[in-house]
Amino acid sequence: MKIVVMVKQVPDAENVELDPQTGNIRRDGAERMLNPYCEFALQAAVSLREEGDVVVVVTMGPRSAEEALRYCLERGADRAYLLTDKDFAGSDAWATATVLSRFLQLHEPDHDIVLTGRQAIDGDTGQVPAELAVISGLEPFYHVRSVSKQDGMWRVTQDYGDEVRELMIAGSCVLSIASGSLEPKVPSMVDVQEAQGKPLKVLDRESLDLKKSEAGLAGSRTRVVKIVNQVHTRASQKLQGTPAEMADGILQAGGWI
Amino acid sequence: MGIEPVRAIRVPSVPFQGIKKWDGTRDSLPHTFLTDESKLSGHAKEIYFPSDESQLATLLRYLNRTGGHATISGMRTGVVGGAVPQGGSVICMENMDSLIGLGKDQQGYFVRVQPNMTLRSLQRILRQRYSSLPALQPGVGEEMDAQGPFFYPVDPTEQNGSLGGNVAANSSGARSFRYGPTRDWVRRLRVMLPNGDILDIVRGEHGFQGRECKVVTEDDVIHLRLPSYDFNRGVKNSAGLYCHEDMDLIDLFIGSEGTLGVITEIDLRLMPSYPVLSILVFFPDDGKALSFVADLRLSSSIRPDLIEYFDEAALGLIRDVKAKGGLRKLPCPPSYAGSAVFLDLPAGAEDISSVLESIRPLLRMHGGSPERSWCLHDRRGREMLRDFRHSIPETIFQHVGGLKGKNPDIHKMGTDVSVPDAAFPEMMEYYAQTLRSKGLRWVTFGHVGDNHPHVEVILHDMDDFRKAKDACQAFAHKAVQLGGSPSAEHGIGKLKREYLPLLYESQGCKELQALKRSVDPNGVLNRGNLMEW
Repeated sequence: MKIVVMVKQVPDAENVELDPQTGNIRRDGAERMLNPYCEFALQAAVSLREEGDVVVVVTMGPRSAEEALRYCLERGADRAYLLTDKDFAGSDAWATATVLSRFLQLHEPDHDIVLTGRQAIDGDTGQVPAELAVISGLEPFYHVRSVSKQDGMWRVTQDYGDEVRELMIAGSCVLSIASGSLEPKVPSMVDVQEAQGKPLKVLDRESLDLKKSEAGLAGSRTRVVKIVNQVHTRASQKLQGTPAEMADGILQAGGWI
Repeated sequence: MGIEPVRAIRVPSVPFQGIKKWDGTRDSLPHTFLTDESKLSGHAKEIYFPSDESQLATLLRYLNRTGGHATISGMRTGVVGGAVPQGGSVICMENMDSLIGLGKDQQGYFVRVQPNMTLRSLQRILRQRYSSLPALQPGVGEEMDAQGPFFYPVDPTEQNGSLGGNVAANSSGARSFRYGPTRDWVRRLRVMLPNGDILDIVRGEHGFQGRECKVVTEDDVIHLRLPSYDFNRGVKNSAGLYCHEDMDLIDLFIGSEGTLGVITEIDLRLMPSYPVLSILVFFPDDGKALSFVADLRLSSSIRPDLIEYFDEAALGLIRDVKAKGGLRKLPCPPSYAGSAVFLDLPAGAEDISSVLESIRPLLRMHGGSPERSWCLHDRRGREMLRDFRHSIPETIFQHVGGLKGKNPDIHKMGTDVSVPDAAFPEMMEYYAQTLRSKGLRWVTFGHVGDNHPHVEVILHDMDDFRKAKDACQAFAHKAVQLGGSPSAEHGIGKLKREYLPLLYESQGCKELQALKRSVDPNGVLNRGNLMEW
């Protein structure tokens, strides 16, 4: 069985600086980490794996994204691909999905399942899993809490908050993993040493047989026109009177209990 | 070093009314300002929050005039009651917590900060683009960007501690194994004397002649005379005033626990950072872990930045908290782990394999194995391991805090003892024997690299507390007898004053008192720290 996990490296959430002019995240010199939702996807992949299975981890990003792949290799992934090319810069969700989909088609066409994180905490669109699925002719499933194998099919639990669905899915599909364990999986010295020897392949635009117009800014269908950082302020209001009067006060203020 | 008298700088007073103040009785002042992590409880009349040197000078002059006195309060993360007021006022430094700038001298780059900046804030700042930060000389930030990143190597475990507090206590922590304590990294201090005048001391510029030094203030000449003892520099030590012949004046104030002056500015040296591999190796039992450490310290090929220890009980404490739903973001020690040793080893991406390879034989020799380990090299992972280490004292602080309701006089009871290399096994045996004979439970963890693990008694009531106090007293005696220090890094504060006569006898203590009185004749600053006033 081959499990493909699509991951992303994001700026370290604890050390993000915003450009006051553009509202964009400053990436120069910023520390980086694996997107936390991608960590959940990796956890799901590793827990699915049985003897003889392969977990392939893939990212599109700059050369520095190799760190995120090594991180995954130390935590159970077997091999990795870094999709990197200056022509990929500025890709929106659609262009990203196009690149990832072409990778699947050309390099790992025999995948049994594709796992992604729910969203990346830098772009926050959450669109890549669906678009990747659509372009690849697969079905996407969102809000996935857990996945296991049962009778040759995928048993998937989707958590919608007010509703939990249990599905049985036949064939490969794209699962957008929304939750996982917060308790970190810690690699051993052996895991770290072995990861050094695991294959990590670098692919550029040409090796993915993509035209310039299909990736990067040129292949993007959306443009970010403006980002405004909203500052939320809270005002407190003191209520006095009997409990009933104060309860009325809360309702009148538009609050809820 | 200059032998000329040191001249103090007069700081003008400002209107008293402009200084932020909380008035109150013992009951209405927030308790958080009346205690610290030792959980010792204090009391005070009022709390002042000066925002600059002028306000601070005004306050100190007012206290001198009116017969008042004040306890200096930073982040109150100390564990010997140094910031706990025993009456008088509190001067809280929390409004003086800014970065002043980045600088450079012949020895390299440094950072200038106000005293209440925390270690955590400093580490955050040092991860930013340096050219976006204030600079003391033009172009320093850009130069540092080109050569960086930089870090401040001293690593007292408590990240929320203030740097002023770190200097006042000469904090050290795990990395002192390689980099020494705070003292070694202080380039310059601005210290306000109890009369409100400032000393601006750059290391290497002002020193004692023998044991004498003259400070000239606007209206007085202060004759500083060092006590006749020699501070034990052979082990990790923060017990009493640092003191030896011909020493640098700056060293008198580092580790003086706020008894001689209030720190208002600090220059700390920085060094280029490098990639590090953090490894936690598990062993079947305590003896195996300690024999591994003994051999590791002898190794010439493996050079860790730090060596920390967790005994079986310490790992058990973390397991217990996790079983109750606490420490959710930390991993649980594996069931096979009977003890653990934590190492930081310098290793770039290309050296990881060879560094790990180099440690394997030693591990196996002592019953460990590379499979039974945690190994992390990304910043977040390494911080997680540090949090894992820090979860032990934090859990103990919380536990003791929880006992306060029924036992108001209880506070944490642990050791801070360091001894010379050869005496370490004897000291460890003595801890276990003494505590076992008193029927107490304890955990041992921490800076084993410096022969300085912390032994913390798990208290349940005042009976335990009294027994633990006796035990700690015995440990202090034993440490001194073995050529060590009863207070390696926490300082003396108010809780460990009885240790000073053990080290310096009554003569040394009298000389300490005399030095304090020569600088602070009215006892305005930090009464009760180091010595009774």
